[in-house]
Amino acid sequence: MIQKFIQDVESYLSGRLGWRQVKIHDARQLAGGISRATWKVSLEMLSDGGRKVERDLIVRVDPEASLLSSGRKIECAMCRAFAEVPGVPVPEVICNEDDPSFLGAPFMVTAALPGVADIPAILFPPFSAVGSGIGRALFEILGRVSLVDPREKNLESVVPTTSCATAWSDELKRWETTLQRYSLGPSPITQAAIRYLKRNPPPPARRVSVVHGDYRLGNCLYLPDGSIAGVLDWEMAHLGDPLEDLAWALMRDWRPSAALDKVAGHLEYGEAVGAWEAASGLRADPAALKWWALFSHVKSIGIFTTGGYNFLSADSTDLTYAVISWAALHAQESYMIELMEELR
Amino acid sequence: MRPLVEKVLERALLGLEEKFASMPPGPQMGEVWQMKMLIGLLRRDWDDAASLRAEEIDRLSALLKRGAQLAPDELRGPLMVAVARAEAGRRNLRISALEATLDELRQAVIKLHVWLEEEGEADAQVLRRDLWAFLTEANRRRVIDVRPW
Repeated sequence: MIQKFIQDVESYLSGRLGWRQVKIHDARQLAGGISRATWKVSLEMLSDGGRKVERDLIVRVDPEASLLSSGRKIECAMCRAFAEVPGVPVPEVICNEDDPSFLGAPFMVTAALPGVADIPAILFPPFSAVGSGIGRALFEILGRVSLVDPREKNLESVVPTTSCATAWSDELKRWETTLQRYSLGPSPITQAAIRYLKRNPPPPARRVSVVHGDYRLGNCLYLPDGSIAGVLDWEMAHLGDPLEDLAWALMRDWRPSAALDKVAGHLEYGEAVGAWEAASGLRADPAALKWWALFSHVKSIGIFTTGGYNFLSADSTDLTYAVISWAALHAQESYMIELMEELR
Repeated sequence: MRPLVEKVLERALLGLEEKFASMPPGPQMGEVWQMKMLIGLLRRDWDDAASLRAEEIDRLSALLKRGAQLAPDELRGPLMVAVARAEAGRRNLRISALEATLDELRQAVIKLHVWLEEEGEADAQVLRRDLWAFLTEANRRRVIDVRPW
């Protein structure tokens, strides 16, 4: 199976992209990549100058079922838009292929970046020595994402537009509709959370920015010097209130078991928010942030429900979506209960 | 005397935990984590799966009956229909049947909850708090820490 995959990728890079004398010498499927099968491919090829060069690529192939429908076009557009933005490292996009005939499913290829995305790894040497720096960098980069004007990057042609006044309701409607469409059964707690969010809207967004949509500890690549080599997985990106990303990044879900009281394994909550505020130039209104925190759990339920629904409807044998949605829904609702009790 | 299902699942889980702890990072680690999670859930829920659901059906039915006494006519009907169906299906202890009954009751609970949130009467607010306490307790019984890291 791996040999066929290697041959198909070599054929694609040579035939479709015109790369010369491509020879893949290693292909490994990576852990993670819940929404798509992710492969790291190491190859040798001839450069334009006729020299042999080594390249490492990431090939992400759409799965039969997914937690979300594929957002490859969005992901590619965002990576291209942020490629020239200082302080927001993203992978170089090499191609986005809709035609399933090459690898059996649509896929995208990016340059591989160095670093690790393994969440427990950053709690141990060599990363533990620079853990606070990693945490701050994580939130500073997110702050810088919010500074990019989506119109300047022509992103309004890629994702739906919104406004400061409607950013919250547009997103809430999106996930409410998702939950109706992919229902796994009635859920009184989630429905109560949605009604609470509607009755108690947040203040208007301070600006409409790019929202990564899944910005968290496990979606960045870390280097031992404490810097971040890349922000990955932009497929859920959209335009909205930058507090949406901040609340998502602060969620307890992403905290390692060994450091549940710390954001990103090393930071106090206030330190993380402060780093984001300094980089974004915005103040994170605590009440608004709590609204987006509760929203984040509704969104999580939407993601896990979609995965569970797709697992059932696609006759999938990949248990990832079933197990995650089965187990995670109650955890998300327990967080909703706590937040709604705090907010009352 | 035969091996109890919980014991078998417990040993299976132990074996998977040992395997998981010694595995190098990679896709197979994810697959073992999934099986560990799956068996962990089955072990936890195996013994009281039916009794827990039957008890929840009784408690939800009681809450809906209280709601029906307070609710306006247009809401009372759907609440009592859900309760009557739950009572009619009491003898079927298959998990799938109990889950279907619970889903029907949950749907009625959502309708009642919407009305209670808008209703200012003291009785309604007491029932709203009792309903929320039940939902919280039911959630706590099912919740499991799913973080693989």
